[in-house]
Amino acid sequence: MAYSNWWMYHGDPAHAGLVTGSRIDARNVHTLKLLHDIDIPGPVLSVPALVDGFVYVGLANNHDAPGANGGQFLKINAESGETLAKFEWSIDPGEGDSHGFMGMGCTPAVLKDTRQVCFSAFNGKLYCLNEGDLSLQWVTDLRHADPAHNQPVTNVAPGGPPAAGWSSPVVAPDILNGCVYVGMGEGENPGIFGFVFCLDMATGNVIWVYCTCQFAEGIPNEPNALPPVVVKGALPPGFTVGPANPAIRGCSVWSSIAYDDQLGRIFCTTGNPVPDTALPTKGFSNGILSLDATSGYFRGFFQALPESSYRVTDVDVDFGGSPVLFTVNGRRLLTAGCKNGGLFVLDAASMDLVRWRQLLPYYNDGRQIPTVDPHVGPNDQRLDPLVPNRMSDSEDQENYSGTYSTPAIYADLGRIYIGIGGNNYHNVQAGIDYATTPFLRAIDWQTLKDAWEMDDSNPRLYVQAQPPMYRTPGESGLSSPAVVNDVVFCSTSKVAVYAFHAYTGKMLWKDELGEQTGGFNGGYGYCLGPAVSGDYVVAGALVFGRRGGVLRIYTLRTTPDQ
Amino acid sequence: MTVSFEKDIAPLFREFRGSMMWRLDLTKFEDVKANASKIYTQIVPNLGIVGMPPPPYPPLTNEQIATFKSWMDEGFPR
Repeated sequence: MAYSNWWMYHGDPAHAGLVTGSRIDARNVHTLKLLHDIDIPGPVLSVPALVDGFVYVGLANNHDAPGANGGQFLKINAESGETLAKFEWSIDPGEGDSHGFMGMGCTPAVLKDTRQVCFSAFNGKLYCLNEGDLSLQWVTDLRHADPAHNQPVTNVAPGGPPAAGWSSPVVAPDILNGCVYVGMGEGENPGIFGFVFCLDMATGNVIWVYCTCQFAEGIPNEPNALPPVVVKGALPPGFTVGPANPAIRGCSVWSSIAYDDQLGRIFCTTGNPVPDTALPTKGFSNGILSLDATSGYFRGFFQALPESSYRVTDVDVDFGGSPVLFTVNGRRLLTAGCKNGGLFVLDAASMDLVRWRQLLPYYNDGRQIPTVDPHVGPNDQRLDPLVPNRMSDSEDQENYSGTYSTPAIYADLGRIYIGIGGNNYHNVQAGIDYATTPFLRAIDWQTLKDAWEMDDSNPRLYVQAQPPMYRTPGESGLSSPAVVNDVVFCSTSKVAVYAFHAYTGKMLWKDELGEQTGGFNGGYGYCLGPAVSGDYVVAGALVFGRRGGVLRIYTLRTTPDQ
Repeated sequence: MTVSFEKDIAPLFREFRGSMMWRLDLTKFEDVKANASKIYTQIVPNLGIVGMPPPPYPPLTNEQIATFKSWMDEGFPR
């Protein structure tokens, strides 16, 4: 069986995180050895792409850029570790994202047929390079109007950071001779709108734009209808303005858009609106938006249920991970996890909710656990403060310990795997209540119940997954797992990468990539997930020391029969 | 007395270097100069916002912050 390439975010346009044709399995994964520890001049804040034995990876900051203000994109031979090509860019410090990132934080899309590689960056630009030598083919500015590329939107506002590109591009080779879809927005600026862009892969010209901030309640937006405030000059043909700016801002598409070639649709998870409230929220916020892949016309929207929040006072809810498409008994389904802790399964065609569950644990009698999703008062500077349920349930606050993870699907076993937990904000929030919350859940896709054996403690814990689960303070699954045969890979904020037995949860292999940074600004310490293709596993991270980053390539040490 | 990067600024940040290497090198003149205004807004206490360095480190003293401001005002002497 030919091996699958990991050619875009979470492996392919459906984002299922499923690797085929690899020889890595539960019998030999313990023999994975470190092949290369690449010296990179900055942190990796994304999952690399891995295609035909070549690693494509971008850096979130670049020490080689003047003042460390810029990004770098690398093509590396996985077998030799040799860097074959580089692409670098510099930016003004004010042009980076709100957390101090100047480079990029997405998985590139690598197209073998057209020899292109495409990625978005924190400067709001979408780059397309020649896959061979990483020379620039085109670049389209999605933050400021770019008339040469039919791009009329200027998405900046005083008082906060400008729109930035966190969203990994997804490519649909069969739509209009090749389209790329990407989200662009910024949730930390009350003046910024969210947009989905569809561009021509050959030229970088914008085909259509969809504003994710609803103009009028109850009425879907039209594609190419733009808020007046983002239009600074003449409109290209086919675009319209207004009539008024949407009442809300935000609704950013943070993660990668999923594309389904069977339905001809794209699916975008969205963030919170501005102004924000607890659920339900206005507009296409905190949900999953479905659009026609060719025209951009609205096809449906689902918002996380108010009762799905771990606490009724959860705000800044956000979907941080991507939607994932899969098929059960001929029915096309969609699943995504939410920062409020909810995991949802929808019918992909109708966008109707099929079932949902809360990923964060409760006591066995159904009560909330006070140390899970504690809502700390704004002036409480204690480290890991103990907050009673009644206080957390009356204090509006972000749920820092839901999920930012994109689920992985193991169809043979009928299971969904998803990481749990968020950033380690230290005095604000540890990101996970490690003693009660697994950083990875294995879930039956029919019932959404836990699929790994659990004990009789209160709350119930996975039996075979400890260690490492429930042992390390602040170790969260802020990453997206990958399934390879009967193995599920998962990385954590420790910063570590693990392989678990997909059937039982038993840990089979691990490597520690580095240490957390100690809560300095936005760089807490992450590995957002491994890329797997053939016998190779690749993981990058943001870590303490070095030049802020690590990139490791692993491969099987033995032949498959050993 | 003139403030200098080597004598006054780099030592101020040295213990935080490893934690901030994901962003820049706090002991490298070019990096700190290029991002000085951003750094300044981070180290000045701002009510309700956790500044740099974060807890459990104590915040920089008013005298240390003033030294950094002087270095900026004097044109970033090396």
